[in-house]
Amino acid sequence: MSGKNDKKAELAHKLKYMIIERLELEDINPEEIPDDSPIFGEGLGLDSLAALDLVILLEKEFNIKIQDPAQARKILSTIDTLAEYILSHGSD
Amino acid sequence: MNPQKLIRLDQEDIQSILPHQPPFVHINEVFDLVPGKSAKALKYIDPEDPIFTCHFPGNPIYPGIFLIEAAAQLAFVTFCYKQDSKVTTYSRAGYLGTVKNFVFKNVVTPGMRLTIELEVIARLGNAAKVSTKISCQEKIMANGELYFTIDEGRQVFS
Repeated sequence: MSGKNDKKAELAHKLKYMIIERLELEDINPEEIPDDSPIFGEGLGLDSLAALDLVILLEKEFNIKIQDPAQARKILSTIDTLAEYILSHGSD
Repeated sequence: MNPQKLIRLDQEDIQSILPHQPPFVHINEVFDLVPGKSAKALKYIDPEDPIFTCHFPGNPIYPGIFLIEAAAQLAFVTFCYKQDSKVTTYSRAGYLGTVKNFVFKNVVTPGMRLTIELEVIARLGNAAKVSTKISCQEKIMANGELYFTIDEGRQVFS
């Protein structure tokens, strides 16, 4: 596995914990969230208000500002897309 | 210097923005309004409010749920205020989704003049998060966060 993939897997793992904590998803274990499963809709079943919370989290934790709902839908599509975006745009 | 214009709205203005009608309009005046960002409102707790006959008989306490509603109405005004008074919007509505970390610190009683302060934390499309603080003089009565979605309806130019 390359260094980039290691970094992405580590970030994906961290993101799952952060999302569970931020959205108070007490019944879900991070291990139960597949990297490629939709975060919204039929996946974790989150809604637009949860999306707003994740946008706030991204700004606070990774200095990433998202204002366009279409862009947010794309970035927050799966854990995988989210991790990919943070690695290419964010800063810890 | 930032010459940001602070806007003041009277009861007539408020009723032209809110989809609610009396007696379910829970703010009296809006001031220091910066559209889409922040606002303050005055809420007078009228001793003649019929709610006090039942909440509670002989021990009048203003219901906390109405304080949340007042903050939500101020949030709606903050988002839906339009400078052009000739624009009338129909079928607009705000739907309260989550009430978070709302704490009632002191009891609100008849005759109090409350100041509601509201600040927009984030907005994404039609979803928004605000924080609010409700005080009487310098004393904090309640504070918390609200999440809601806004349906801005359709606009008609009169």
